[in-house]
Amino acid sequence: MVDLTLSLAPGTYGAENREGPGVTVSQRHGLHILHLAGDLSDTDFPTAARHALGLPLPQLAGETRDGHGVRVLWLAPNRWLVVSGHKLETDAFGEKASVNDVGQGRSVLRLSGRSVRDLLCKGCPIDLDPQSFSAGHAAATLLGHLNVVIDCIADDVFDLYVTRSFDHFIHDWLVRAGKEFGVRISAA
Amino acid sequence: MLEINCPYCGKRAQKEFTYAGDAGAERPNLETGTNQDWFEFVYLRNNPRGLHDELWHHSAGCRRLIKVRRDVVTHEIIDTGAPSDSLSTGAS
Repeated sequence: MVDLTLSLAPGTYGAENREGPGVTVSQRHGLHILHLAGDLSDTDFPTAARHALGLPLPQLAGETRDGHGVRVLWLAPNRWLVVSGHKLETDAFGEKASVNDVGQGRSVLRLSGRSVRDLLCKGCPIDLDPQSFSAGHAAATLLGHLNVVIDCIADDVFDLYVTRSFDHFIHDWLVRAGKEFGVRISAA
Repeated sequence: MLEINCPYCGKRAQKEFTYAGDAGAERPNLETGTNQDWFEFVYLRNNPRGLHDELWHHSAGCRRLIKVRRDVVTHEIIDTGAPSDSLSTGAS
């Protein structure tokens, strides 16, 4: 597939600090992303999903689960985002599930660095304080007026799921909002 | 800016929601509803001063419709829930 994303050229933008850029942005490639829907109150669905994923579905708001190379994000009641490095068979989730491969439509950005929370705070209405949004939390929310999913990987590491056609916009937004911290766009 | 307690996601900013109309409007029966019933359902709304039940769509979050009981004078949100829930009156 021809990659039509128009990300900014790799390099460092904005302020120059002795400690290096406050935020580093890199693109995560080769991920398989499924949007999974199914009724938890049905007995067959959670069991089939558990077999397919090798881990139980997260059931609390904003909860994520990890294991066997798969990460599952709670998006809404009965809705999950399944992210894996290897391809998962959509049939494996059973007849009661609705599974859509959305991998081609999402761009996944890995944001890291000491200023990453300060940067995200500028365009995101949820509380990103480490006490309320820590590793293992994810949320479907807004960033710079754009619908995104923010997944907290570690204290200062976040994954950002963006509609692919907005990839350039979100890079541009991150660079502009992060001018005071310095933003490094890493190659590939 | 309102802070709306989504029954599924927790407290979120109003920016994440889209107003989806009066939660009190009752859809007429498809078989027995008269033209007048439909006219009232589609066009006529009460404009109360005080408590008002509203539907909001959590469009930038879980994408569920929720019901919000809000005081339109003070903007205080009394209670929120699923559209089928009966909400608290806030009277203590």
